[in-house]
Amino acid sequence: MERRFTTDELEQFLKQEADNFKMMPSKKVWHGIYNDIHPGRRWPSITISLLLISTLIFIGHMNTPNASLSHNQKSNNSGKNNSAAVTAKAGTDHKSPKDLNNQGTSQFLSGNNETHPAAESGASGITLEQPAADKVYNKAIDESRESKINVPKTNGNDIAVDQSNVPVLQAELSDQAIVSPGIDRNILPAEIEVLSAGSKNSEHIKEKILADNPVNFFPEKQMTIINDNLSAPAPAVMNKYAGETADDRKADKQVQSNVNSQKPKAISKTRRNYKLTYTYFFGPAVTNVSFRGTPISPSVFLSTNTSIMPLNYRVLNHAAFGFEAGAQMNYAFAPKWKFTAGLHLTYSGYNIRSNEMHPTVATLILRDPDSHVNYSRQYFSHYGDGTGLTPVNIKNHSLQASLPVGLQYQFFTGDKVQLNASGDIEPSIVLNSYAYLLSSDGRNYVNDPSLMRKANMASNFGVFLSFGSEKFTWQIGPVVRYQWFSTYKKDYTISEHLLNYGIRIGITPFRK
Amino acid sequence: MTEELMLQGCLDNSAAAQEALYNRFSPRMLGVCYRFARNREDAEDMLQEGFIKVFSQIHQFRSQGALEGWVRKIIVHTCINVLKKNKKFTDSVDLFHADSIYLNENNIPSILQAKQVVECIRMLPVGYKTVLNLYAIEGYSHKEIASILDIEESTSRSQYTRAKAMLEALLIKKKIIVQPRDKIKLVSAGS
Repeated sequence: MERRFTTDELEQFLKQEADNFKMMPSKKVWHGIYNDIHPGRRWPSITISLLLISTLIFIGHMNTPNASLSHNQKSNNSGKNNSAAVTAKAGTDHKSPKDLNNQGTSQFLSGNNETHPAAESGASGITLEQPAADKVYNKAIDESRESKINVPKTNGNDIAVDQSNVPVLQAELSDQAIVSPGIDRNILPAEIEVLSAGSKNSEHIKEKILADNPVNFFPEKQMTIINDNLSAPAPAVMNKYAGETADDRKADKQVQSNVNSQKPKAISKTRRNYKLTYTYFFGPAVTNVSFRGTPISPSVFLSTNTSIMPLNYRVLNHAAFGFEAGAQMNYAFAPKWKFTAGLHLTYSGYNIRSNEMHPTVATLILRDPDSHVNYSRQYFSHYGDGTGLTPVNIKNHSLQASLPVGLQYQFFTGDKVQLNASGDIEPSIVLNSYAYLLSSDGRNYVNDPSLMRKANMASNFGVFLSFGSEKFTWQIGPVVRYQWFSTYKKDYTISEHLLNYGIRIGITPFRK
Repeated sequence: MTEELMLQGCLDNSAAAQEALYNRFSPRMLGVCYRFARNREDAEDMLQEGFIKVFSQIHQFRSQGALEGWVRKIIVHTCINVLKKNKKFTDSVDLFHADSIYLNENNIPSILQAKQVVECIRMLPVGYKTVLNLYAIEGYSHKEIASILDIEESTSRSQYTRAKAMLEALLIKKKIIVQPRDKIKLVSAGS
């Protein structure tokens, strides 16, 4: 079958065919449109995401060794253009001070295998603000210009190398042989001193530097000296000494002793708080229940129907498994005492032995807690008191989130094991609950979520053993949790209290 | 849901009404976008951007015309804006060296006729197919096209003439239509 078209008909044909053409867009198109036109509805997910991310970052930060130290180093490195610290350079390699003592400084002073004794022996552990160092350095240059000192290279060995700063220095010192090309502007006062130690007027320069820049040599305010770094010089230093004259060695030793005599006695700038630890725990629990109070007799409330008398008010129940989990912060405020706080999740419940029955009207006689006026509610119930022929288990359970605040006491400390006891009070919010209440005549179970308490209070007591592994401290021990307030509101005159017995398994990461 | 209810719901920012409107018009509008776009992903991006404009400007719709026509107009303008933004349309090579483009029949999927025609249109250079889409299918005049695309009216005419000639050749090659040009025959699907 053929149809004929003119040129205009071609356009018509094209339009017709194009209009008939349809494609189904993918779901993501609508999602994109929806998210764009309803941005407010994205806030819950964004908020949760941000909360999760910030929590992860916080946990990661808290568990990262040397986090605070790195922060210090970064703060020394950044913010000022010329504020570079010697230890910051070494620290960026994330090496321990001990490692730095052995190799860090000699590696950082690149371009030459040999480094200056002062740098070798003490500089690796020194944090010095660069402006101060610049001041000392420039002063030394001025002094040497004045005195026309021509400081020799120490045995022909170049010292520090940082090519980025070379042009400036070379421009300044082009007519002098104070330093070899490539001296680093990050040079230390100690290096300056040793630089000038071999000169004729070295003593004069040292005295001048000390007089003009006393703060640089009273490092309590500017230096963090790690003990080990100022110990005996490295072998490279000894080799360097071997090539020097006796006067040079004497001058260097004097400078060294000068620095050592004025250094602080191990100023620890660590911000790590060893008193603060975090414990994450989980553990199974078994829940028992106790009831208090007496039901309001239907005969009292319904005076016209005195035949309704309460039967044996008894909830046939047996324990059920639950669990607890959470995170806890421990702060040691005394040698054996710790303050604890955190977030706990507790799932607890118990099973009720009931029996299925035909739907029956069941009555709860309740009492208004304010006016103490009795009132009743009727329910259709499918569950009997457990004495029927078709037994069935129904479960009462609740999930609570609590913010515990408590204390922890250390009873015993052995080489590897500690024995601790802890106790806390836990204000709780009931996240989810489902409970059956025995009717006032004791014959049926009914469910009424409106009678459930939304907040509660509990106590937790436990004894646990702590023992350490390489990275963690493990805790294990029995815990008991008691719910102080009834599961139900005061309208229901029977109060239910849950008692959880559990084994808590906790883990506390070491904070190095 | 009737069109009035949809419209009222969209004016009330009801997500259900917006979704209903989207479900009703999106298949056809994606077809429109597809004729302008380079591929399906680009077409979906155009569609998304277009519907966002539709919902944000729905209060400007006067119930004098069909809602679909109004939506379509916004979608077409969105497509043109995207092409302009991506500098696809202003590619002069497409406009003046189009005759040398190699046409591979295998690129045309042999499915429904409408799909074949659309695929033939899409094989045209960007400048050609844009003018052809606007003039022959969307019903814009050359003056309007010149205004929309920031080109001369004569350019629009010449582009359209060339586009139509190339499309005819394509359709003949694909045996959707047959010669002669003045008396074009359509070979119906299946014959």
